[in-house]
Amino acid sequence: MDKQIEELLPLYALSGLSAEEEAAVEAYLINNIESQIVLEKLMATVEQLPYGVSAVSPSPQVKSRLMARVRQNLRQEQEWQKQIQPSWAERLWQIFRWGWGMPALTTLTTVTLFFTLLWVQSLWRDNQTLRQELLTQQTLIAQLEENNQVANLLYNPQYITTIAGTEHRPQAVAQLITDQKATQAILVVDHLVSLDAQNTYQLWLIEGQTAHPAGLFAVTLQGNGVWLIDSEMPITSFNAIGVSIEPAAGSQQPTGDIILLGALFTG
Amino acid sequence: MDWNQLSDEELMVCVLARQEKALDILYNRYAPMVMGVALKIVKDPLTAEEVVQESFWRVWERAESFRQRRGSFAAWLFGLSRNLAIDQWRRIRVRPQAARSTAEQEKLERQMDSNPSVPEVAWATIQQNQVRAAMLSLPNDQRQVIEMAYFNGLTRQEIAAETNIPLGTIHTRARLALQKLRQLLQSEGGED
Repeated sequence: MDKQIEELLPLYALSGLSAEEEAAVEAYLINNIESQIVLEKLMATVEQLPYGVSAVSPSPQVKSRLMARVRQNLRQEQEWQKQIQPSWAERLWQIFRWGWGMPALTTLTTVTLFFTLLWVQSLWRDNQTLRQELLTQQTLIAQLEENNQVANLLYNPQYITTIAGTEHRPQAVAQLITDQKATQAILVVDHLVSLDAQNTYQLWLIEGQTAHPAGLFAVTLQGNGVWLIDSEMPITSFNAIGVSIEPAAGSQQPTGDIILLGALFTG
Repeated sequence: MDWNQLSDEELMVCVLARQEKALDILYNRYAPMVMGVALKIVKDPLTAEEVVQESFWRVWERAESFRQRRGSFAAWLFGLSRNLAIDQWRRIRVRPQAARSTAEQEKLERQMDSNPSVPEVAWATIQQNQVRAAMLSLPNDQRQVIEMAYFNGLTRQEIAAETNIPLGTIHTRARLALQKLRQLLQSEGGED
């Protein structure tokens, strides 16, 4: 405890010190709780002193002047507030500029962009899947169409020709079923052998001495198969039909063994 | 709302919210005491009225600074009005003018104290009487130090110069005076 400073506390409470002395006391008080308590008590006593003074009413003009000044101040404050009050657009901008608006907008934009990208990616995948499905459907439709044509031919045949195997494949047998217009036919073969990848069966429609290529086909492991033949000319205009073994790409004229051969529409 | 039922601190909340009626009530409650203190210090009614007006103007204008401190409104108000009065008194002292004698001053106070328009609040009157009685019970030399420091705004050096008393004696008198006042006011229930 600093006795010299402690001695000054009553006069500090009474405001009886110079400015320098007051500053010294205040600096001392910061780290001296005991002295602060002593001072609190002294201050509480000093605060009672004004009550010991005789009350005197000021003239009514004092209050009038004071309240007029207050009202004028209120008007000024209201005017000032009107002037500084920003428009709703300015306030909104302030909120966005200095408040949570800008970070929120940035976050919202980023999140929206992220989910949009995810959505677009998902749409692209869906599109790919749908395209694939469409292709499959189109293939199935084509196959169904073909099957339908085959079925029509089978149920409404106009001409049926049986074709026998040659000496190269005597057990082979085939039937050619033709519709009424004779531009379409189905060839049903049996007892053939499944060929390797380098070879294929090729169908020939023969007119006089000329053989016209009419399609390539393969058979199942069991040696049978059904093929639809489309021809620009009526099949009835041809004399014979034959099947030969040709290289995988096919030939313009028969080059390999003819395994099936028969005359058309003789009966 | 019955404004008169509100405490000083509640009224200050209203002042802060720019309710002029709150200041009106506080003025009615404390202006006579502020005037009394100011008059005791500046010893001139017109100057004291200026102090009163400026004190309450500051209550209105600086309400926020009251909210930020602790303590009662009355202590804050008396503190700021005392400081204003002492500033005025110092200005008056440097200006050459006819000074009133102590007898004249007491006469003036008595006259004004009997003004029938003074709003006598019961508790304030009791408190006033207690403090007056406590002050009167102090030895003259101790009361003189209190008066010179608190009401005349003199520093300890100025008191020593004016009374030709050593600084140590002034310290002792101030300490003893405040100790005795505290004891007396506590015994009367006038101070916490």
